Amino acid sequence: MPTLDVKNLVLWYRTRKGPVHAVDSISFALEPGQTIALVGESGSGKTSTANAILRLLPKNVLRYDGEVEFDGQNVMELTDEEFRRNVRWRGISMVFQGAMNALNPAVRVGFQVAEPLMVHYDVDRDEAADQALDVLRKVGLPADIARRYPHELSGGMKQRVVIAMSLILKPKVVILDEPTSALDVMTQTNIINLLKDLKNTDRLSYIFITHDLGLASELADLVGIMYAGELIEVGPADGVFVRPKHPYTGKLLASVPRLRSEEAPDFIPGAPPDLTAPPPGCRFHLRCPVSFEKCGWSAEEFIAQMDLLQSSGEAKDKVPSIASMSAKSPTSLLIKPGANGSVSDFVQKLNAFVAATSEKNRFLKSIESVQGKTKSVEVKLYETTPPPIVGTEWRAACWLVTEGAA
Amino acid sequence: MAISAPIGLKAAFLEAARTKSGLAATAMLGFLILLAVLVPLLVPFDVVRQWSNPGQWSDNPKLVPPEWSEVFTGKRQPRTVIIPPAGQSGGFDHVRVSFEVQGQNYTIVVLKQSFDFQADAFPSEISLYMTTMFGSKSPLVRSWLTRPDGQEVQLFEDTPSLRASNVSQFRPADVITYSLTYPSFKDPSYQVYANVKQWLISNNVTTSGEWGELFPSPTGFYSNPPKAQVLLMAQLNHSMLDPRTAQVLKGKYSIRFEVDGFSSVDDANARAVVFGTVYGLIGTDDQRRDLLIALLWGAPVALAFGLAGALATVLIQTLLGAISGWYGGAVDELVQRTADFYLIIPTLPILILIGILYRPSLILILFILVVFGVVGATTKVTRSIVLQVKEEQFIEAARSYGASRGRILFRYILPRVMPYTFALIALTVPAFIFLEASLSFLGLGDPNLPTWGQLLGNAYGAGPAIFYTFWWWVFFPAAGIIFTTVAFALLGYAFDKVLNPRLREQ
Amino acid sequence: MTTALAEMPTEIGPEQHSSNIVETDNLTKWFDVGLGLFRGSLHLKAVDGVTLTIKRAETVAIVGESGSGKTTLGRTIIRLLEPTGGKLLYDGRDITHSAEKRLMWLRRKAQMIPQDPYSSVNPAFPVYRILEEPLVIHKQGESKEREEAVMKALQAVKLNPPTFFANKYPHMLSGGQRQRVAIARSLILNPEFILADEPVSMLDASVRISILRLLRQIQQQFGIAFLYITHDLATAKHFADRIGIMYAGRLVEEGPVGSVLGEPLHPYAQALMGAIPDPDPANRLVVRQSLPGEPPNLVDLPTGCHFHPRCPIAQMGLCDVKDPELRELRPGHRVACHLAT
Repeated sequence: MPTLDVKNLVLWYRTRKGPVHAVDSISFALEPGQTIALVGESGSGKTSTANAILRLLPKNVLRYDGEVEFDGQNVMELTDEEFRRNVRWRGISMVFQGAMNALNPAVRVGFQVAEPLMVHYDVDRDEAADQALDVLRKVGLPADIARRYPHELSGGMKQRVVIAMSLILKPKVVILDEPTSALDVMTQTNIINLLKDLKNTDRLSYIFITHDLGLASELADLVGIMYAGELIEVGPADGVFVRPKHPYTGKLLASVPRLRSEEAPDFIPGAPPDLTAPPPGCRFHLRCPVSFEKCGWSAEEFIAQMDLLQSSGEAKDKVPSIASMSAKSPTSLLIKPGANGSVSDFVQKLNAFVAATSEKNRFLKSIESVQGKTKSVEVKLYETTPPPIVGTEWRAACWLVTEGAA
Repeated sequence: MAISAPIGLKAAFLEAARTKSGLAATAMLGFLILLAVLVPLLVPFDVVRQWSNPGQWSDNPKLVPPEWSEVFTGKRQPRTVIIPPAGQSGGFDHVRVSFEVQGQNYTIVVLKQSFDFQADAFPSEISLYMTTMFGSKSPLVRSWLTRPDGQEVQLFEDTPSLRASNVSQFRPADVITYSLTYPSFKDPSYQVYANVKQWLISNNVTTSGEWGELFPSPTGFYSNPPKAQVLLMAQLNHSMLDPRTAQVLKGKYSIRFEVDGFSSVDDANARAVVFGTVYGLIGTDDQRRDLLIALLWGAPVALAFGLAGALATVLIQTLLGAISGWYGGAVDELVQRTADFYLIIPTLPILILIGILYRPSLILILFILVVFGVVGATTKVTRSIVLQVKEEQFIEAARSYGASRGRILFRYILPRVMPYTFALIALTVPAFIFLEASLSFLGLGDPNLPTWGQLLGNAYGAGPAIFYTFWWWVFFPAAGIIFTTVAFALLGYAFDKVLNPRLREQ
Repeated sequence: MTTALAEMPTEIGPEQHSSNIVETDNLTKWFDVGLGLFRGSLHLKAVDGVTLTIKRAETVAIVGESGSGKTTLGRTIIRLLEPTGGKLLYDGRDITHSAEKRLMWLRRKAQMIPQDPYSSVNPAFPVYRILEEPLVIHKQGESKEREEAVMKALQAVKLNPPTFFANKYPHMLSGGQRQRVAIARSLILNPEFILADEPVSMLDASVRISILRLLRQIQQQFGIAFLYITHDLATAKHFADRIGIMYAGRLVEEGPVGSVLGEPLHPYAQALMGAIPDPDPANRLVVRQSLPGEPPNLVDLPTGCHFHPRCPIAQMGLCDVKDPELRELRPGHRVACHLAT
């Protein structure tokens, strides 16, 4: 039975600009001792997922549902108080991003580690102190560290303290959000080694959140790739790192500069989408190197891409001249040809342009039909829906992925 | 991260103007500025310069509330009636006869005019003014009041010694004032009480004994007798003896002067003022000054004083703080220690001392306040902002492409400080206005310029015991100060909301 | 401002041309750390004897962890800081102790790109003004010529169309776009040398590559030498010609990228390489080798080789006594270790 089974977890925030789809139906399962790395760019929803699992919600929540089964029990059904007492920190704990800088500078380290014991379990001071020393030793710190203040410790030592704090109640799952981002390479290696060690000795499950694929591979048994609030690929590390199914994962892996191979890293053009208005269809289609007609181009996106082509230096001559474009519906637009072209002329030129450049300008693949009207040309795009999630143990959300594809 | 906080002053201002307090502040300040601009046009400064000149205000009633306040009393209150001298329209009718009897020249002048009185309350005062021209011998002047009920009451008689050269001009230097309401017991007008007594007794309204109780000797302490104008204009019955029960006799009243002169050149002219119980939009003070003028002029004075002081001190402090933070080292030490020293100096007691010794003008007060405000909290605040901005990487980059230290300070750093400076100016203006008001209230301000603080100070000085009955003198200047203070505070608050990241909703 | 005028160069030296744009010889930069009024002061030895040459149009990466002194080295080389000792030559000219006001020519030829995209450009200026500033300060060209230069610079950093970006304020741009503006600013004076101090470490991973590629392309297009300071060995591998590894204020290894990263000879360099993971699922099954301890405090450095307390092959009596010199052990590839071969 999985220690943690997350099904269709959703978390939306309300903001002045509109609803933010921070986490949009995430599902994964962790067996005891298994680690999943949640990998994604900034703004992809990794930290929001952690907050959603631990029910650390801000005041402006718009939607929060799904199922989170911890040791077989759906903890989403618990009240806030029950969750606080039984699940948070006891079953699932977290090492927050930048936590080592959030240690209370005025309180001794030992006391900070022992505090959750005294708060949660009402353990007396001496017993708590003993247990704190135990866990400090476990993370590789000498016993006298308990009497020190945070500013007396180095970065690596502070991070070990924070890890100790997350382990004091003996949880089964620890969420680690960029635990090594502020540390030197050597210290980073030492911390990762510590985490590996703890994972083996205590059968801990980690949810390891990072943007660094190299680091992810140090701990991950499962890899979950997040993009724009969605888990677009999740599967075993041996598979995802080597032969990824989703085009985004492929691009992400290709963009890592490797120390031990000569391949030059590649970059992904564009930027992640605005979470208040996620694109229809597949959220990655705007930047995907292999997007095609099913991927969900909208008329507005089409117009924007056309505009970009017109103004950027290279393709300027080849794009047929256009006076104006307007979206008629989400999937159709009207183009007024420019520079004394006749409508039929334009239709011809456009079709030729599409045939010649659609491999490079992927958005052109979304054209279903081009029809000349009296004074303008109507371009109809394919209708689409978000891509289905294909697969069981190893899933990817992409039209190109078929069941059983390797 | 303050990425979304506006950086330039213009951007900050636009965003501040969109908040609720910003909108309110803009409206209020807009109103004040409009007032400040229009007032010097509507009420010329010459009028204000006469603030300390009693002659300017002598035709206004003393210490009366605004005209619209009659709504509160339920009674129709009398307005001031002025009967101008003969020769002006509506003035006294002037009849002069000169003749000679047995070698002696005589001139008789009769001045007469009437007015219609319909109010429900008595006038606050009646004053009569005369100029007389005569030869070697003073003429005899007598006056009467004829009432709507036909009764004629003699007022007083006098042989004036003040000789005018020309009575039609009615020059202030030649005028003799006969106040019927506030005569001292040596004035000829004091006779009015004796005459009224006679008249009342002969009409069986009162007896000599009763009158004696109402009017103890002039040197007695607790005399609060009914005033002349009440007795003269009340309905003729016993109730007239008590101002609370006296009823106004409405109708046409007539004032008559008879001047008997003893030469051929004698002539006379007269003027009468029946003072109302209400005046103007804001009322008058104890010097009869129209408070509306002071209230209106208080606005530009307060704004000018507040802005000048705030601008001077905040800008100087900002500059010092910026230089201190940017150049560091010895300069920094010097400025900081000076600031510490200034913070210890007790400004207000020193100001009071100066005020007592020198009774400074408003400009001088401003100057002293600025001198005391040259270094202060703003210096330290600006310095910390500059220290923060100094660490930003574009500053170092600027040094790498050759920008001089001065250029960086003035073109890169100070514009970042400006929105905060602006907010601080907005918040300092009320402090200055308050300081001036406090000084004036203590009687140490500029005595010649009618500021709001002055008004409050004068009101307090006119008699603490009756401080609360003349509400119009206190309420409006206080409201003015509060309104201006709130306007600037709201502006400062709107800016603070925009600039302070913790107050921003995100 | 009169102060700006006063700092204009009083002499414009004869153009010297050396094939090395920057040469340092045992360069040191120490900071005084006061202990209080009566306890004297200690020296923080941020740069403790660095000898390095940078050729024209080459990219040299200086890699080190935090506290290695790499940032200080960069700033000292472009004379934002004055060296405490050693020699610093720019294009053959000794600028070690030149007065600031005589260095305006350097401020034109050598530029820097800062690290933090959120403060690398003046947030109160529109992009146009940000780019125009260096031209104005150095009195280059008239308004029309400056406009052209600004547009060209924006095109060079791929912010197209330039007119669109010229009027934007930094807060309207993404982190990557802001760094491009910072890069454009560094190009506007046609420099020969650019110090890029961790220019991409605060950007998203996907944006990093495009910016680094842009820098490489700019280098080739305009023939500019780059000193690229970073803690990320992997990016140094793909974007530099030569690499120097710094530890505790000293260069421990230096040479062509392929040689140094293909065959690291200094124990620290070897440990550094070993500690960085590439994405490989097999990593989770092994414990990665690392060094014990922490980098030393720059105020209280070990004697002899600064690395010896953590070195797996240190020999007492030699490594703790004698400062190692950089020795050329492979072609162009120097190592500062008594024991490396």
